[in-house]
Amino acid sequence: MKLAEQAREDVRADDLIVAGPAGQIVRNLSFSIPLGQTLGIVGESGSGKSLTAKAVSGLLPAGLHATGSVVIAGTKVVLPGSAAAWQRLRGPAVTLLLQDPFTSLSPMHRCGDQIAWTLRAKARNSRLPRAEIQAQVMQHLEEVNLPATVARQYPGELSGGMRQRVAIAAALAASPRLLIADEPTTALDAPNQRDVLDLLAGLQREHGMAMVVISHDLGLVRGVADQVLVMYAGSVVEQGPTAAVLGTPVHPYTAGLRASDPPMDRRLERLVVIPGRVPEPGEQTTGCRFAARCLFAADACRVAEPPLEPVADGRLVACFVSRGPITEVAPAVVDERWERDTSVQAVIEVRDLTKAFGGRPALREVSIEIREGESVGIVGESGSGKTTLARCIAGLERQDNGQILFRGTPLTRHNRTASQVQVVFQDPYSALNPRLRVGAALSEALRGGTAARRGTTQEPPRRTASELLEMVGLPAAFARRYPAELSGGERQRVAIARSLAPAPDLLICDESVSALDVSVQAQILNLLGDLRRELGLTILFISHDLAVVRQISDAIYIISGGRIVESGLTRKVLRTPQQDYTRHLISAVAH
Amino acid sequence: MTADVLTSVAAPAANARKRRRPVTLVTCLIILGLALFAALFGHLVFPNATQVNILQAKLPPGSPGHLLGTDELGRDVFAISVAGAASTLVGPLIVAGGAMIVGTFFGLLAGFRQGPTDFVLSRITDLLLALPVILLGVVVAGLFGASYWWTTLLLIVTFAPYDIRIVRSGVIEQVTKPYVEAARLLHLSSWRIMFRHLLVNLWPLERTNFLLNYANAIIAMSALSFLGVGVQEGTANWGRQLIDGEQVLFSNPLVSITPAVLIVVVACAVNLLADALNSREGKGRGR
Repeated sequence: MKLAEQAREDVRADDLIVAGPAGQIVRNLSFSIPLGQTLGIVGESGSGKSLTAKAVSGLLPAGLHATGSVVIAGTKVVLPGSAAAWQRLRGPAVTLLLQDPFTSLSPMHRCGDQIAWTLRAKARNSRLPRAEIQAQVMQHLEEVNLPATVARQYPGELSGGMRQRVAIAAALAASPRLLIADEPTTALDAPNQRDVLDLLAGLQREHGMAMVVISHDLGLVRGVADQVLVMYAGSVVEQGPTAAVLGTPVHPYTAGLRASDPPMDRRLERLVVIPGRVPEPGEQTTGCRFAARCLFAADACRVAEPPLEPVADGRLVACFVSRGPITEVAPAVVDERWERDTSVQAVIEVRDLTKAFGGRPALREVSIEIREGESVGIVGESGSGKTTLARCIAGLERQDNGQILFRGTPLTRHNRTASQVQVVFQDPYSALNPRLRVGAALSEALRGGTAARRGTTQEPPRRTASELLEMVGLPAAFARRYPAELSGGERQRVAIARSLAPAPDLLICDESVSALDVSVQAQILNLLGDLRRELGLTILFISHDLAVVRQISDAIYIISGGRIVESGLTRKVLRTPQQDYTRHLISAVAH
Repeated sequence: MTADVLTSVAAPAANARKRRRPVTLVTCLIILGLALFAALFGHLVFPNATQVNILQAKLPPGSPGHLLGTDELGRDVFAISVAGAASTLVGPLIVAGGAMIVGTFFGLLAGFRQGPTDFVLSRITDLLLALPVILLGVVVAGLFGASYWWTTLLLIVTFAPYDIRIVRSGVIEQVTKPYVEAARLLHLSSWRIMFRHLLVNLWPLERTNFLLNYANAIIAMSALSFLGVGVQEGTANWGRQLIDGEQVLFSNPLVSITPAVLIVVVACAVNLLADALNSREGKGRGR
């Protein structure tokens, strides 16, 4: 029995703890992965999922240290493990595949050489003949469906998806028993995500290795993992077979996470949200880490931390309250009978806009219309020109040709004001001046906006900084804080408040929720929906995520290669796409 | 202090990093505090430091009443070193401060406006950077006479181009960040974006550069004084003492060694202070 178990369990981790100067960041994590199977680790930022991967591959950054033990390929390492022990294990036993193929490959070396490094390291002391290495490099490239010519190319000459394939080829060249993929597709576009994921799953079966896939994306994990481990703020809250855990979640956090993932086939009145914010790593709490955000929390939850206990169907759950699958309250679906009213004046009309960067066209004769009170989405992959279009409309770039009309008047460099167009950017961390208090930033924006409205017929709505904060659901006391004291979601709320200060006629959201955690993304999407209803806001929503756009935009433009390929009402375009490209985008969403 | 350093070296790496920084910082602050005291009150403590007394000339170190001995003109080495702190340390302070102000203004302008403004400012900067400081100092002294304030001005002009370049590259790095674009979208004035938004984010860069410039200016001014271009003959100044000591190197070597050591110690303290402040900044800053 014992022997048989050992044979099946190629990889196991026991009582893994990662501690930093502020306290424990990952607490008491154990798992085992039979050969040829995949474990998914799911969690939002700050859950400790990436540190778990680093601890299991002996790559923790200085200042953090791990305890517990790991067994890989029959070798047991008592953590943190010596440098020499890890040197022997990394490669043949465990390999880490990183998120960003743009930084994980050396830009100054050819792709073939980078795969060859792994091969030479594997060969250890015995010298491999050059021809032998060449042949193996070709073989590994073929395995990841790349042409042999890639071996001679530099990473900079390849697309993101191709680079990640090179990284996979280099990782697999070591023939590891365990491959850890840390957010392997997050940096890629949806169609590439699907391909890379299918490739990983296929190779895993072929090589019979164990795999750990770490992701914040439930859909992705559902597609590849046999077992799943849901982490929240450093603790495992639910663990078990993927179909059970993600299909009928027992822990309130898993259920909340699943519910806040927006659907693509329907528009919800409001997305289900998990209120509050994820605690900072190392933040000390008593009782259940999730209690503060949990709708089911009882008194016992705030006193002691619930242990991870077995529930039916082979899963473990850490919760005092929930004992069985949580049945979701189905959120109200919006009845979308809305049609574009062509009699309403266009706030912004873009006519035949053309823009090139250094001879490379980014926009080719793009024409779009955004009418008063509408929410219009622009969807495309990275490099499609969607952000360039947004920047041209906002006046951050100048078009080469074509016109942008604001209420019928062409916008030039001289007639732009702050109250025409404002932008909420993608990254909430760099969107706020780190050395300016929230209140000061908002007051300044208000002064600028009032000046812009002066002399026009529309009297500016006189708002104060605390009113702006209230509008975006933040307490007035936040005015005294610096951006560093806010979470990502809170910062994005402040950025929205700032952009609303001049009461703009058009608000552009440029991937404004894509850098946020799923539970926070739902909060911000609901906030934008509320603001739209209350203020009659006109929104241009730029995104790569069809499901998100479905929730916020009435009309949609699909952009590819700098050209609008399809447009129409969101519900119609997504239900009955007319163009192959749109169909390709829709089918790539892994759900 | 020695014991402290020893235990921290023996401790694990993470602890050593934590404990050693304050030691460096405190040591630097003590040295600079003493230097500042000497610069401010040195002439009150030793009002007669520069008084010539031929009868007591060239006394060796350890002579009664003259711990470090006296120089060729019979001036006490310790007293004149303390009194010399002011002229040695104040000029460079003005140089570093002046270069920072000039550099910040033109660097912000060049980095933020870009285009023709940047081109013109950058070419002028290149031109100034090509000038050899010491040679220029000698020429200026030849034209206007050796003067402390002319030397200070000259050093501001030759130091500022470095500041312009550093500030400009810092600005170019910041200008593409969304918070600056958001400020542009709010149609805030260029001056407001430059001096309220960009300047505060350049502060760590400015501070480091100011301290490095200060250390360099101490050395440059001392060098010019050594060449006889900086301060007038007979003035208490560490650079001046170096050349005076040359005459009595064998009867009292401390006449030269004392100011040399002082220059090195103060310049090092300033450099280490810049380092220590930087690593604290890096540790304390949020995401």
